[in-house]
Amino acid sequence: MGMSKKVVDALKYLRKKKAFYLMCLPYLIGFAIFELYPVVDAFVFSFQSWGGGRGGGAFLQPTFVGLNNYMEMFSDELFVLSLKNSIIITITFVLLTTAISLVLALLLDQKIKGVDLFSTCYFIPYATAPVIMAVIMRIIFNKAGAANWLLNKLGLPAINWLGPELALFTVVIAMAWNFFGYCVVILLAGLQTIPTVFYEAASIDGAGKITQIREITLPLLKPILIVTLFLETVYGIKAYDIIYGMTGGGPGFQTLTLPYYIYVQGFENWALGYADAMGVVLFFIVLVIAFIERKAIGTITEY
Amino acid sequence: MKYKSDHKKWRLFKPTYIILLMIAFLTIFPFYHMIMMSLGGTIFSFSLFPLNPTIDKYVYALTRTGTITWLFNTLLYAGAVSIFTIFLDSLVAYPLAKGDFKGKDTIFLLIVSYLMVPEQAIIVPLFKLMHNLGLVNNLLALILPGIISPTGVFLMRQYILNVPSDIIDSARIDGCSEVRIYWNIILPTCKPALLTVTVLKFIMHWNMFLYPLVMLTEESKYTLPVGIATVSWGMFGADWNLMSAMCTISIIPTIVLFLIFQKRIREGIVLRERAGIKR
Repeated sequence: MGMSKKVVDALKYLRKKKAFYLMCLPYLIGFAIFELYPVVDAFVFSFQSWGGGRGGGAFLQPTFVGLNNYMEMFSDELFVLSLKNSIIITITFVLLTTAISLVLALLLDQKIKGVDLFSTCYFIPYATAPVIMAVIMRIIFNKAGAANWLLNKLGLPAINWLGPELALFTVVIAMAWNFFGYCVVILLAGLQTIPTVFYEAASIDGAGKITQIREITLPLLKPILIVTLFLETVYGIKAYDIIYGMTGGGPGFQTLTLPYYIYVQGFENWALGYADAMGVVLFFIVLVIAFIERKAIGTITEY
Repeated sequence: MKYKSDHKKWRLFKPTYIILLMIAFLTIFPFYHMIMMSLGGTIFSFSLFPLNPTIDKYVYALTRTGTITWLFNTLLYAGAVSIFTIFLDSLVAYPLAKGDFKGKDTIFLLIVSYLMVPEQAIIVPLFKLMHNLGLVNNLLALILPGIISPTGVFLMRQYILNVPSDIIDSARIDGCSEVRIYWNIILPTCKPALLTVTVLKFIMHWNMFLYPLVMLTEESKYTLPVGIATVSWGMFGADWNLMSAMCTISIIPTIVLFLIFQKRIREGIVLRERAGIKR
């Protein structure tokens, strides 16, 4: 009796709010098919072994293999290497991009002329396909390319930018070129929300520019800075497009990153189950990064 | 006194401008290099323009490579996604912003939590799904998932929150249905927001790489990033002038859109990324 009343009440409620639920429905159907279902499937597939043919040919019957895909990663040298490369790329990329974008944002915040012009200019790479500009970067950093031409004009020896020793570093430069403007825009917006009275009060107290930045700007900028760090970290760990266009993972496997390796295993070797399991690992890496970000921001707002 | 302060300003700002200009130069250089090379320039003759500018490589790119086909495919894909997004995302964003019903917050959280999923993590299941739907080598395989966009919903919701509730409430009192409020009030007042989301989505999908690379296996179905990246590792790759011409063609549409709408794009992006703090 109580149960059926509950159902009736729920139905009444649904009927009253029908319009709202119906408006959500189309999106939620799409969400279920193209987002929720693949995410669930990603976990299911990671316990299976299966492959298929290029061009949507016949798939092999998937077989349940338990944790085999995950165990295989430990003994797969290329997986370990790609993970290592991803971590190195991420760390150097985050350091480089943060340094550049923070300095530029601080400079642009000095109420100078041409702020909009400069920030637009830095932001332009955002509008371009990373893989396309990576092709241009490959030309620039070629042994006979513009970068070495410039070094030559300056009387410096040529550098093998895309050679085995430096390729990883060169890729990071291209990634930073692609993404720093995005960070400048976000940081600058954060800086512009800091009330000028803070600075005025500080300069009355005789605080210099550097002290002001250390004592006022950076603490107040901290939340947005953490967001930028998070965005950079995720960009770094997902690095794929630029590497595809610039080095193709080479020379050798010097610039093979985890996302790139997932593509190679899945869609070149057609080891779909294994590729999927690595995708799940990547998913958890991103999740952990997000969790750390949440924690970091949480501690600030609690003050 | 006046002299002194002016003098100080000048000294303070001079190094600033040098740094800003230097970075600006480094940012623009790849574009300049690309355009110069596409007009037949060589690495070793850096002048403002190539010595003997020629559009031969553009003609070649448009007539002898797949560029035109890829351009058309990309336009269809990015265009369809951004147009359908407007309606689908705003339709769900309205109740999430101004409705009062159970499960509202859960639905919103569910939708935006998808932002955390890296594309590589679901590429295999998504490929199998498209394969089972018979959509491999079909632009629909990119358009359908593209329309379901957490960014779009998030931004639309943020903008709709700014619509004064008075207008909506008085419309409700007048007996206006929610669908009519959405269609007659929300959509017209949020036109600038709709435009921002459309442009953002267009640029995002024009530049999309991994999904198209996996879903499209026939050259005639490629999008520009997939086509150019693939060709660049083939025999055309050695022809830097040709590659530069192809790259230039492929980035012009998004650069133009970006320059026209950059203020709105910037606002949209700041809004999206700042939201992480207030949650």
